[in-house]
Amino acid sequence: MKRFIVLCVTMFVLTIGSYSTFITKTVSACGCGCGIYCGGRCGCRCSGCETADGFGSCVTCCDQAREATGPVAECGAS
Amino acid sequence: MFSLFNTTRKTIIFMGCFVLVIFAVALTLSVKTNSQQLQVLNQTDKDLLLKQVESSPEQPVNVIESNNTPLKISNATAKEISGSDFTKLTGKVTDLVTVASFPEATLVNHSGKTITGFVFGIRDPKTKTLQTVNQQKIAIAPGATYNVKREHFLKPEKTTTATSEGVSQKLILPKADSEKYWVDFAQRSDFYVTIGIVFFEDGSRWALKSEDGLK
Repeated sequence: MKRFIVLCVTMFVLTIGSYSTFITKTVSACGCGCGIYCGGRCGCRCSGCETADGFGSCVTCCDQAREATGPVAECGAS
Repeated sequence: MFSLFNTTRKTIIFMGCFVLVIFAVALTLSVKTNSQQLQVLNQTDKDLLLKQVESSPEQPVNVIESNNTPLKISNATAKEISGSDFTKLTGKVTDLVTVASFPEATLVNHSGKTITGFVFGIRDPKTKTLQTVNQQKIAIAPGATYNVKREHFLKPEKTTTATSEGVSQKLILPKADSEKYWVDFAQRSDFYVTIGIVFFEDGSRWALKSEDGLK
């Protein structure tokens, strides 16, 4: 019984530890995604970034997206 | 120590299951549970609610700027609805008590140069989420104003129409009954709007720096 309880505690600690590591890694990553909208405007969204870094990453993302997409008409145009 | 691991097969299987259950419970708790029931309105009620939203007054949005920004936000507003109305309109659930639309803003060129582009952002410091719109190929003369419209933030949807003349595709903007119309990561009181980058006619640019202290 004693062995069982020790094992239970050990496994519980290991599980919580690995879970919190998983959460920390998920939250701390800085990543952005973007797309070209109507009229060639670029919409971008970043998670986990500091404000200034996020703006910088968005500009890079949008430059690449514009290059790949080419001109986009205003909404409503065929 | 060796005897500690000298357990029966049953105990090992039990422990494996125990770990899996703990992990599953923790994951479930982290994915915020929604007590909101999915209540989608019929078309008539939805149209009525849409009209109410469209005619509702604009609410002010927090503005936080760098002291030396060349493009100042003189005014920023958004529509706001309750989380339950959001669900009724869009059919999507949210954890937010109130949901704000993407903002509209008036910008003023405070630099002595013509501005040809800018990046306008919506920032929630709590979740560290930043949503931006990058506007290029414009000309804002010194002292002139520019209006950022709500639709500038909206990701368009493609519609395909088939007629006797052929098939045509159009990009249309989502309306208030689409979740794309609304800021989904923070309430109006929790986010602020700011200008992050400004592009000038002479090829130079101004960018927000971490020293400016915007969280």
